[in-house]
Amino acid sequence: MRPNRNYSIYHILLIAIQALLPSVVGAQHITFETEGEYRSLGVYDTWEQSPFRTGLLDGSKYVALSENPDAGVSEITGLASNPSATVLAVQRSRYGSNTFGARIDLNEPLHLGTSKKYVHVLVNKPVGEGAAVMLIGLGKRHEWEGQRPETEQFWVDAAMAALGEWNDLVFPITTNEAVDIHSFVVVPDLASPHLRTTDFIAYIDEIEVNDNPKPRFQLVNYPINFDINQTPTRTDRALTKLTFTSTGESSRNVTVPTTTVYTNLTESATVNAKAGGSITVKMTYMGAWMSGYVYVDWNNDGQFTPVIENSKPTADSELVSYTFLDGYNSKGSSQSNGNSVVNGVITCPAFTVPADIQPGIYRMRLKVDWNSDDAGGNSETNNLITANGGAVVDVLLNVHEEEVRITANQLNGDVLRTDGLALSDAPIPFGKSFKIKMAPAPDFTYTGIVLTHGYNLDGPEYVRDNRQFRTVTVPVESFDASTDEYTIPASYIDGEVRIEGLFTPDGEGMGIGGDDVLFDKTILGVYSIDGKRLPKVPGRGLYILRTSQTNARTSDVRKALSNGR
Amino acid sequence: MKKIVFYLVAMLSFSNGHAAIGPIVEETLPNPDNEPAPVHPVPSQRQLLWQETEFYAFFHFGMNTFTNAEWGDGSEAENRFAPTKVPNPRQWLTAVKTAGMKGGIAVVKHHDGFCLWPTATTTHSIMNAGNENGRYTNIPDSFSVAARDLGMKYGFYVSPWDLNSGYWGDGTSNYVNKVFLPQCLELAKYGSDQFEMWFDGATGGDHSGYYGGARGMRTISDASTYYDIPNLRDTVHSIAPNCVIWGVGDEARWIGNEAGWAGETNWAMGSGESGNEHQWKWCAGECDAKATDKGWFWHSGESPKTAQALFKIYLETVGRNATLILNFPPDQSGELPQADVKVLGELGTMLQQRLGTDLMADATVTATATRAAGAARTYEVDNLTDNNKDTYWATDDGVHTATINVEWEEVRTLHYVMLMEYIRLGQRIREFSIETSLDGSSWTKRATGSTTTVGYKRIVPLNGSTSTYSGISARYLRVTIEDSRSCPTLHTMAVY
Repeated sequence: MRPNRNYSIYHILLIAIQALLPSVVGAQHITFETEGEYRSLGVYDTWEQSPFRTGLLDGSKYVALSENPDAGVSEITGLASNPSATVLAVQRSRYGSNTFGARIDLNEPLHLGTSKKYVHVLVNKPVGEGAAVMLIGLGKRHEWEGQRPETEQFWVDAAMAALGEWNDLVFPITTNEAVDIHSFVVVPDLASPHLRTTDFIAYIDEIEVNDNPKPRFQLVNYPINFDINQTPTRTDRALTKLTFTSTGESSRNVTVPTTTVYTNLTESATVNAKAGGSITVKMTYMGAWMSGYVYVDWNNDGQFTPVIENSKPTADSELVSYTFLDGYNSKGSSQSNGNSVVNGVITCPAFTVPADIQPGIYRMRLKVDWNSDDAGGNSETNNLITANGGAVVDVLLNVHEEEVRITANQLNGDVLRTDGLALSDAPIPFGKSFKIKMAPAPDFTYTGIVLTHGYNLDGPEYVRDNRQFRTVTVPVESFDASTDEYTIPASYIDGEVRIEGLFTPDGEGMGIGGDDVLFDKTILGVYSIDGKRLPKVPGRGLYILRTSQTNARTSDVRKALSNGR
Repeated sequence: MKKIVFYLVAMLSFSNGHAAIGPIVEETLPNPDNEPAPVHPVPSQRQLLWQETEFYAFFHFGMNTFTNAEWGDGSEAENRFAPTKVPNPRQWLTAVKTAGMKGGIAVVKHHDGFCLWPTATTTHSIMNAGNENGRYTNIPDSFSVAARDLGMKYGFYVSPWDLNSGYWGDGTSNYVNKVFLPQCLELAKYGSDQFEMWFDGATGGDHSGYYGGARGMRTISDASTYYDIPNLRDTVHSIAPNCVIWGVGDEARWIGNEAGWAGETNWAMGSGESGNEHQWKWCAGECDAKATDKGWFWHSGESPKTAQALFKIYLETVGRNATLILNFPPDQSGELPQADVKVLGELGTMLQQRLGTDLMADATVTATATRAAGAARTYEVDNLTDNNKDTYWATDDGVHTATINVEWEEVRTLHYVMLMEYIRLGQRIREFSIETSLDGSSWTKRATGSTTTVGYKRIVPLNGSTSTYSGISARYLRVTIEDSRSCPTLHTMAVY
């Protein structure tokens, strides 16, 4: 199945300031163009039983310098992202483990000192493979004679934005200051190879170590066909509001700023829906002769792929709703023209969230445009979206289940349900506030919680620039001191919820020196120092005293307090 | 279609084609035994041996035992450590062995920095203890000797965080180079047969300390880098090759709570109570739990939990693909209180009574799918009951579901089903089901909703409860693997 139009500009290549030029800081640059840039090449596998370790397979056959398979101008991006003539090729063996990779032994050991460095690596691997790539550092402490320089010093993974193209991956690395790095290992595919029946070849190039955390170039997700800062060219047309109505959810209004043609609201606007439910989008629009388009990136590949057959979107089309496209709307109903604005509103036909879609975060794009299924905006010279008063807005779609999982993760105490049961005993309703209770271990008190909520909590915070989860710290002051309870706001119950309880010793026996001094609750009364009342520590029945208020030791202060001071 | 691009730096343009040129090696490894391909990640040999330890003790003993604290601040005078008898790790280990534990880990330095061995790195140690019993104490030595004598595994808890040392968190590498790494080296030399070093993850923060008299609060930003864990791990392994580095060592993970339970779904990869099927590294869970009702260290008036409560913890940890390190704190005499010793014996008896007799021994076992045998290995269901962890049942490649049927000649009372994957080839099973029947035609699902992962070991209470002990009458039982990452493997199955 193919998109109904023969174009696919799905990434815009942004060449960053550091593009492919060696950095001046801590320069380590391997281009694979000339001999002598590295000491040797080979393969490495962290798996002890790897046939490349046991000698069953000869790793030297699996790496070689190669002609760059993709040095020309990309048909997709229109750019030459890596014009290098020679690159390193590694055959990803199905007999290696998930950490099998190409090993590049450095000419001179790399000493990072105490600072964080960034290893930039160009990687290109075939379409259809997994996105995860890893960099492993092999080295040793420089003063430990006899230590193997193959000691694994770090493992850092990164995800490729696009397969079948050169990607500049950036791996932040740190080591102890006594460590030298002797080799890099680039793992082309972190997935388990157990279902593989063939190998594939991945390409590596332009390894550079510097202080720049930004990629030398970037393949942008969800591109638009105009400058991201483009301001409106017309004053008579503007998209001002979006209204979302999802099955079983409250209606959601999102105000759209009119300062730029493109607006990214993914950090502030999330629309909730359930798999199998329907969504209707209304666009409040000043003007006429424009139509509405709704896209959802169901496969999270960083692009919106429209697939239209028989004048309707197919089940897997990522253009899910529109009011006018080549004479039809997305229901397949004939439309006499593309003037979809009725009483200042463009009402897009309802669309259905796939029943089998995984719960999670998806990018949703809303577009006002003229007769164009291009998610980046109509770029035909005589119908530019920027000239026609169109607009593009991105929000997030949260496809959720009725209930979400909540867990706690802490030392020296528990975070429980108010009935005393473990949080993970049962799921809790999505989008409803939920009360928890702190239960410190003996001799400990709590200082709050760190709460993470959303999806893929063990993964990166952003996938395809879409935020997966948020982390908030809730201080002890937010808890009910009498019950040690805290009500998690409904807005935090938007996916999986993970809580880390913050527990600390109650400070018995602590001395002077800027510490907090905590006193047992059996010392009854209300106390003050220099006219200031001592605050009570919630949950522990303890009184807290800043030692900056006194030079006394604990025992002295306790005595003073017990005397009613 | 016009493509809009933003050039910030001009680039050369090459126009060569898209020829894919690289090493193409057509090699196929022989597989005469028809073994399934590993599903990565897989555990290292030391991780396998560590997981086989299953159930072991934690002994928190040290300065806090004498100061009634859980976390000291490092300012405690050395002479406060004054046990009324020479500490007796042999008594500790003998007691926990009666409960079926296979080893133990002794705290030899807690956050207060007081060392329970004669170290060259600090004067804050037993060498300056308050009495002869204290000065005669050498926990790493007496603990390791006793463990070897008793045929048990042993390891040490050494706190990286040191509230006594003026070097800790001072912005230099002095603490790691002059104190911590030398201490670990000293401890490693107490035995190359250590099975685990426990490095607590506490890193300062808002807890004030003595810090060589400077006093105040200190913290570090990255424990792994600060303590140089990669090279510490390498050094420990060079001395003690089967010693797993817990916590920041990245070879075994904290399960995420100290209440003594793991998730019913529990992958050996990832973090927390449930792990993560998709993580790249093997890092199985360890559950640390207190067997007494107060702190990790001994406190006056404390009592042990009941054997029934500890049995529940066992089921929810060892029975859920985790190891259990159960804390029994020695008191000021340097021995476990008699109340603890008593409950340990009761727990051992309970474990033996409830999980000691495998009813599979006199059952007929069949499977709906069995992998084709290789030259020197079969994958028959008999492998499930041969008490050999190196043989296993498996299905053919591409067969991810199968049922193991168990039939007795007469109705039996069943309580638990125990399954063990052959994790040397990776953790595979995502979901399974257990059903019982009296007549072989009418089946009842048991423990529904909880039968997801298996891993190293899974013990499923057929009545669905880890708290109550009640049997199910059945003459037939079947376990169906419903979903697996690849062809499932099981090396042991038992029914109690």
